[in-house]
Amino acid sequence: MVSQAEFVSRLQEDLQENLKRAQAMVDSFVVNPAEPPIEVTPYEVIWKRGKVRLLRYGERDKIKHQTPYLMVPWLGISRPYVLDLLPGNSMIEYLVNQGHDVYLLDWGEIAAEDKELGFEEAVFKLIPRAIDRALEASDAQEITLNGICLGGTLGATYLATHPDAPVKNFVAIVAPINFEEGGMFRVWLDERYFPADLIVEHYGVLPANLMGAGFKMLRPTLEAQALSGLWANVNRPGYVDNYKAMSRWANDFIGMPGRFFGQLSRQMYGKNQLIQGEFVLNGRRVDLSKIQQPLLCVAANQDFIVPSPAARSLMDVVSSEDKEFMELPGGHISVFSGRQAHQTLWPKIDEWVAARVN
Amino acid sequence: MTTTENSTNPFEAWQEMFRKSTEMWQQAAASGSPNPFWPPNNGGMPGMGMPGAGMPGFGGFAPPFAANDPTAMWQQFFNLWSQQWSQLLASSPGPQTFSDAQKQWNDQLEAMAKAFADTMSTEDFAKALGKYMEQGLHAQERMADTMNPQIDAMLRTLNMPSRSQMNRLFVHVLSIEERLDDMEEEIRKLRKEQEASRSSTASRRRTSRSNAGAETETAD
Repeated sequence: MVSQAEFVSRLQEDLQENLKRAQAMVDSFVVNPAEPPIEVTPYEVIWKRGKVRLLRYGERDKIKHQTPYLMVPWLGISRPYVLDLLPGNSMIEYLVNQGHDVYLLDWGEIAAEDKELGFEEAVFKLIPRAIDRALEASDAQEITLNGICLGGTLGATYLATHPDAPVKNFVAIVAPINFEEGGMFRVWLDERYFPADLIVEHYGVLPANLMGAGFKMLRPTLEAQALSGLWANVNRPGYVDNYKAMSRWANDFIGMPGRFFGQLSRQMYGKNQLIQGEFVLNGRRVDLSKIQQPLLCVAANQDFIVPSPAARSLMDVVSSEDKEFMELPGGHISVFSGRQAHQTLWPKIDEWVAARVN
Repeated sequence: MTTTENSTNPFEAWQEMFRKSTEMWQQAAASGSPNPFWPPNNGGMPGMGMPGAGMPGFGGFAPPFAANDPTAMWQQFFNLWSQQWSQLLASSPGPQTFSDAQKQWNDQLEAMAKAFADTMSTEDFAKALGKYMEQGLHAQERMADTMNPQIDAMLRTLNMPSRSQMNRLFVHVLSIEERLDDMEEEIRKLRKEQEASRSSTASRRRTSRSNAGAETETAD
């Protein structure tokens, strides 16, 4: 039982703390509403095809590991600058500082004219070409391929259909492979009910606003929870900048090419063809057991977009002898772009890759 | 605020409001009169104004299915949430400070998230969502069929390109860029082959020269 004096003292402390928070909120959002800059690490564009760009980060003379590290992010949905969000909260910056020769395949801003972009073009043209250009720019023989989210699905599909790919290692981060375990999206995209064809026919792409609505519906309370977190942490150094940057990114949706969305909803979420070896591209069956590269497979324990089992299944189907699975605390994005990623995922990737490229 | 009875009062009021609004909705659906929350075939973007969109009582939702379904579905959501909320409040003392209140708010948000997840992971929800989207898309299509010729005519009058003309232009520019990239790729391949053939010719020459040298030495 708390004494009255103690209670009053706690209440006073609490009141003062909340006044400080209110002051910090006013300072951060009213007095200084500016948003932090995005894409903090310097890069040069190595290759460009339409909207697709291959970016190379960092300075050449600081590279310690000669094997290029190519990041392939998700296609559509949102922009990849969450990988290079803020100084000190950037996976790209971290890897560059550790001496990796980092590349990013940027799919660009998807719009109606990209409706025909699907797995075929990504897997048989864009990824191979990006790898070629990265190898040429770095004067290397092999790369480390890092697929993130649907980029991991594309990466796995590429490796499964290109057994002689110049890829030394494969890092798959929260990449959906077993769509049977695909969480709520699996339920919603049920082909008996979801009018995927109608959407593609009508818009050509899955529009950004529908995409945003779908992701927000997954967790309708997320923004309220984020605001509550902001109130609690507003006085922590760097928290507000991080909140602003993340909040901007989280509302900056882009569309998804119609063809890719159709394949994803029907063949992946609908029939789960990839893991069953029934997915056929350009007449070739995608057989994930043909992947032999050393594999680091990462999942997040609170991921409601790609639940951990959906990502973990890659471990069961590849033929790689050297393979490791990690389930880290965090959500789908925070696992690779949160404050704790600095202590968990990024050092792990650096260590794992460094041990295999030198 | 420690007893369950007190805490559920606002909830009951909300449920009551929800019940009344769905009754209105059902009546409107049964009588074929316009939807009380949104005009029929409104042409609004499906899913706009999330996360409330699609929820009866939050506006922007035309009933695409039997009137009883959404009531049951969302009733289940409210029951789940209210149950979890009551359990939370019963298991902890009322907030003594702002920090306690904030913690309780976070717990309630978590409970609400769970209730949403449980409700929205059902086949019923998928069915409703699909029908809602389908209806929205058809409505948009009808609206586009009506509006687009007028918009195009207006843009022509202003000597401006229409959206479809701009799309065609983008596709055209993109295809030119892609063809250029394909040509560049071909040139790169040819260069590589040329370099490879040059280096193999050079090595053949070196080999034949050294063979010739060896033969001359032998003959000497």
